[in-house]
Amino acid sequence: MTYNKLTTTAYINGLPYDLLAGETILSFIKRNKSRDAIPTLCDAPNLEPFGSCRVCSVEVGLTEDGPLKTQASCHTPVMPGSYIYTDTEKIKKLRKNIIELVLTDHPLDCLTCEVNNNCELQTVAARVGIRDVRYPNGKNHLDRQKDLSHPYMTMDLSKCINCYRCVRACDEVQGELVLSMSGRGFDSRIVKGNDVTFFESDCVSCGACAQACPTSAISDVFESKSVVYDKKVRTVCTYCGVGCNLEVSVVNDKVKSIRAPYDAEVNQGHTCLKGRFAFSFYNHPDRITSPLIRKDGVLTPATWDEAYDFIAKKLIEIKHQYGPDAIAGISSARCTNEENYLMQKFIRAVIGTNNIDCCARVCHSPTALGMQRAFGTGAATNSIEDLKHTDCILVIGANPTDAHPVTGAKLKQFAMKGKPTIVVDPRRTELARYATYHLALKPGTNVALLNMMLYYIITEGLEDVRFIENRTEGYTSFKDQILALNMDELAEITGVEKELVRLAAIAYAKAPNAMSFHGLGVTEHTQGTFTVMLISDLAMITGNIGRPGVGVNPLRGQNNVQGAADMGCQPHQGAGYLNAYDPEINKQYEAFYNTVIPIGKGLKIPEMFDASINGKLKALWLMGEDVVQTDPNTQKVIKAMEQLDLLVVQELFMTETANYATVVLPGASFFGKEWHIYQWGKKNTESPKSSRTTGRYKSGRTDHSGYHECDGF
Amino acid sequence: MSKNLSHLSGRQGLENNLFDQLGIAARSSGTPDAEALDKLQHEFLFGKANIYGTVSFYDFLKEENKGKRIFICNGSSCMTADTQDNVKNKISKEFEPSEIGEMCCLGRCHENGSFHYEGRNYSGNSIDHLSAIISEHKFISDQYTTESYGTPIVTVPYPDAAEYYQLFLECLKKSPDDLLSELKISGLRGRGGAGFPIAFKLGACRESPGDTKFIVCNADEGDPGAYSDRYIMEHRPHALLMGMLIAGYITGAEWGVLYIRAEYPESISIIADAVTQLELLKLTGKNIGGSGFNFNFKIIKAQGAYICGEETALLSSIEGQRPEVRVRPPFPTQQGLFNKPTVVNNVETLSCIPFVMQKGGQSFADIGKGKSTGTKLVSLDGYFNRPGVYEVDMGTPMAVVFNDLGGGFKEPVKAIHIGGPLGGLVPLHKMTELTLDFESFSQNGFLLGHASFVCIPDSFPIVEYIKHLFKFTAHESCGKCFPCRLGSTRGYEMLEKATTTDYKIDMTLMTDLLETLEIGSLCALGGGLPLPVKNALQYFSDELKMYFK
Ligand SMILES: Cc1cc2nc3c(=O)[nH]c(=O)nc-3n(C[C@H](O)[C@H](O)[C@H](O)COP(=O)(O)O)c2cc1C
Ligand code: SF4
Ligand code: SF4
Ligand code: SF4
Ligand code: SF4
Ligand code: FES
Repeated sequence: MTYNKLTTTAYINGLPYDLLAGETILSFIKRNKSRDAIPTLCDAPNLEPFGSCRVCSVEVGLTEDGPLKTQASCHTPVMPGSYIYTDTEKIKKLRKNIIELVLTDHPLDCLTCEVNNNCELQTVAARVGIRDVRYPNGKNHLDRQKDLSHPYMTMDLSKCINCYRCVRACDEVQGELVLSMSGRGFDSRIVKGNDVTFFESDCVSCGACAQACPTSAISDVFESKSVVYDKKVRTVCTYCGVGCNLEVSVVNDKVKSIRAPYDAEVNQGHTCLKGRFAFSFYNHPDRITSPLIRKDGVLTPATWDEAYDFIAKKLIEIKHQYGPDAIAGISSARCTNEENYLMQKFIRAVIGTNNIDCCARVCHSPTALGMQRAFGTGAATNSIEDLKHTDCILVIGANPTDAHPVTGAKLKQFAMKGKPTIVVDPRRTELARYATYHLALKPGTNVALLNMMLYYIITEGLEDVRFIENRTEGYTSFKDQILALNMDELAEITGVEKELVRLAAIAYAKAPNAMSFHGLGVTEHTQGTFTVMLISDLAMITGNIGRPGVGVNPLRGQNNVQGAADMGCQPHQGAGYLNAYDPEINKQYEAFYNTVIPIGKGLKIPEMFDASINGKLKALWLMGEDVVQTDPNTQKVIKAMEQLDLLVVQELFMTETANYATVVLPGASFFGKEWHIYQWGKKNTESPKSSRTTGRYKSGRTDHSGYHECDGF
Repeated sequence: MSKNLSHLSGRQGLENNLFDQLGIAARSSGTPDAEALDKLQHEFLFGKANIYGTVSFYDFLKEENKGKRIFICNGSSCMTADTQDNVKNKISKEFEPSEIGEMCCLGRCHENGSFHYEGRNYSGNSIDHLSAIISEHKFISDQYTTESYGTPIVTVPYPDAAEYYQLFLECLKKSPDDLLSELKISGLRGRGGAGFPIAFKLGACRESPGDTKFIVCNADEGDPGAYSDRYIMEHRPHALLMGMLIAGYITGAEWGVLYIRAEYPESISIIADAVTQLELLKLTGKNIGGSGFNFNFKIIKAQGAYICGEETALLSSIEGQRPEVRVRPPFPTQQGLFNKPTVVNNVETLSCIPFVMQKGGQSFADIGKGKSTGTKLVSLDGYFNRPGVYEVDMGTPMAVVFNDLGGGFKEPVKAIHIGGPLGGLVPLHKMTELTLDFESFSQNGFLLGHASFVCIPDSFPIVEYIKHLFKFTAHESCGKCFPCRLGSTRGYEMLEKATTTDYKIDMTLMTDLLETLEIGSLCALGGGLPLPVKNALQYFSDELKMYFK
């Protein structure tokens, strides 16, 4: 048989398999055989092929009986029609001989090593059947000192096999460039910074290098690579809006360590410092462990039944005396969909008021409203995957490398590769350092700046005429208004050079696909809604909406801002964003909940504080929201809390707000829940089996309040 | 290699080059100081570790180079010539040990006894004038023969630059495709070692999308014993520069980078002068000769690392990254310097282009033998009676080369190491069976490579020579791939132990090691070392068997 370029088949050990375009030999074999069909050491799921260990070598022939060539499978593309042999005598010998060389410079103390039984070197060595090392004793690096300077990261380079996975992870995944090889040849060695300790280096403790390291040469104080655990559970991080999937090792019901699963679309084997290491709160002695009821001014431990009875009695009293509108609930964007749903249902269906709100409406309501006005719906238009398909990003009012680290790292990779990146931010953020255009505007001038961009897109003739004609309304008057603006005046207002804005506008408009990202630097201004509308206008005028790799993306503050809003934790919108004040819709809700659902206007969070101070609000139920700490005008919030007859706080710790509570209910953290959240890109993610959840209280609580569960939720 | 770093380095263009800046920062003390590193790290948005890693890689940048003032050649030719003990003794009388460094081959292999002092090279009996060199900064030039046997292509004298470059201006009137097809017809293959057809690379680069492309001249001539590229740069610089201009025109590249080894200070200054001359003649810059073609040259001085001759390491080196060999694909013609399409060619390869354009591809193809068309420069070392650089038609019998041209040997020689440290070790009796071309060498189990000739006299133990090769590889290994990083050191250690104690090397282990290096290494440094060692084991088994069991 002759070598045929057009064929889409290649042979593995004599059998034909279908080929995907551009596939490496390694991925071809893994896909068709098994994930561990070929031993590897320097390859990692989230890193570019590197080709240093050579253990993945196979023999390849272009014809069935033709001469064979040894090739490293991890970085060699499959030749269509070629014959690949994975385990010939020659290959087996090569692998064994390479590992023998590695072991000439490796301590042989597997049994006491942290990663014993979970070490890739150990696995590969066993697999290639290494018996003894034939080389005479020579130079080695076994006496290298450990670096234990860091609170989380550890290094023991006597165990290093120079696979560069850590260096590549710090570069290709986190983009921090803290690690490098130094020197050359046999004496080359991993360094941090100018050869300083982990602690002195610029390491941001994301842990990507430790996770990537195939041995224990880089690890962490929690020994996250150790196999000593009772079970592994998968959950979702609640620290920020990224919502990374986490894999938690549990020993004696205590969290031992955390790793990031590679198969999670959001974070693909990566987390930040918080997700990976900041879990000690879970087993912290300060966690609230039992319900507390204020008796004689002091919060005193009580049983669940006592607490429920107390709350139910109080609520019924207040409801009878002052009506349902004297009661309100604040739900949490860090809690699950189910919990949020139940909270709003409890307030609306059981209590009978629309006084339900959450922080989602506060921080990103301009996003929801602005995007609803522009597009008819208020959610991110893309998932993280889309970054692969975009050619230009516009980041406005967001510092994602700090606030959304894992997404921030991906955006940074984009910027580092010199792909057009426009950062609109008064500060020189980390992303701005790498950006193509940094428009360092004066705070509060977003609207003016975006108008400038729109102006230049129009004057440069870069509008997407077809998109505008087919998909938008009112363009002519919009255009007239934009063109009537005076650029010198706006440049003065924003403090940004006209030319710079023009260039950035051209870059955005000319990119085949452009995506925008915005954060609280947009939404927490008084003109937030208008800014979001202008961001949407930018997308529409350039046709950057409705395809992969284009769109408008709010970067949410907490992991389930989206879900909390979707579930109806806003006074004016019930579950599914239906208008809570519309009589027609109200009928549907009533039919579904099988009870009377209120239609009167509900209170928003700041209004709740006012109502309490004015004596109109008597009871407030807070789920996972520390309003005293986070809401503006602390003194006022405290006063509002003090005025209440009943303040129920569901929390993990005694927060500032909990100090004012009448009843405190201990909450379950994200390590202990089994329900769902909506992440950026609205991906549904499952979290593991649990002990106690917020939802359970609510079912318990509804019984005590005399409401009977309907079928389903 | 990091795509991010390639890109970040490329943001500054070639005018402000990180690697250049590191070299400049190291000038006064031998290594850049912390302040300079800090500044560059911020300017280029690199991590501190990246810059540290780069600096620590190079012989002439790393911290250990601090305070070094004089450098003694430790190349193969000077070693077999046995001149360096004398050089070292004399230098030690004038300098502190901490001031004395090493350099690997100054391209003075025809005179040997080589050393480098304050930016100048010395060889032959210059060491006898050391005090005058130190006090008067005396410059002593070297002497070697240059002749051609057959058609002179590269060695042919050219008229003054203004006239010579008419040829280039004529080329600008033709289409790049026409020029490319002349090169295809010529059959010109790379002279840097691998013998890859140049037309294929230029064509691939031309096809690669992108408006920024680069022509890189590999002038890192690292093979100890080779100095033919040095000859071209110092005596035929315009043949090289014109070759790069034409290659730029064919591919659409607007930059030509000359990566010249630090061990060749004269080459660097002569090429710099030649580039200035072109600027004055308006043969560089924008819209050359009204053709719309733009081209500029950038000279990069290397900093002492043999692996930088490997083309992908060379590209990382220019970028200021650690020069570790990259995996292919992507090939440089797709993603090379700063991730942009790039052609890397050897000095001699590029210097053949003007001839092809002047006389036509067919005239070039008519010279030589079979698939080895044209001529090849060979460098003969000091053991020949007439050492020098000779240009011979491909296919010339070896007897002609070493008798008629080289004039025979000064002393009895038992083997010649041809084609650099990774070339074959040819026993004298095999020499007459060879003709000077790629095929004859490979069919006989050797390698033409860059065609340097290092003689091993009868008195020099072969075991010491192969130990030297292992040591050289261990020192120069970039350290990226496991077989070469570990294997070169382990091989050296075994030979050292066998030559200094009664330890006997297990022959199976040595064969296993050689096979692991040969088929397991990522690049031809680790992959090439086994060839001369196997030649030695085959042809000099009598001499070597006492070290093995
Ligand atoms: C270890 C090593 C060292 C090399 N050194 C050089 C060198 O010094 N000069 C050179 O031109 N090519 C050298 N090469 C070959 C280059 O990688 C590359 O093939 C060459 O520059 C291509 O140019 P050519 O096609 O014109 O020969 C070296 C290759 C290896 C593997
Ligand atoms: S923990 Fe993260 S930032 Fe720190 S060195 Fe490792 S990969 Fe880099
Ligand atoms: S520290 Fe770990 S990941 Fe880094 S090179 Fe060493 S073995 Fe590989
Ligand atoms: S990026 Fe956000 S979700 Fe991911 S680990 Fe960090 S804090 Fe948690
Ligand atoms: S063979 Fe040697 S020089 Fe080449 S990549 Fe491997 S370690 Fe580097
Ligand atoms: S000059 Fe010393 S080996 Fe070439």
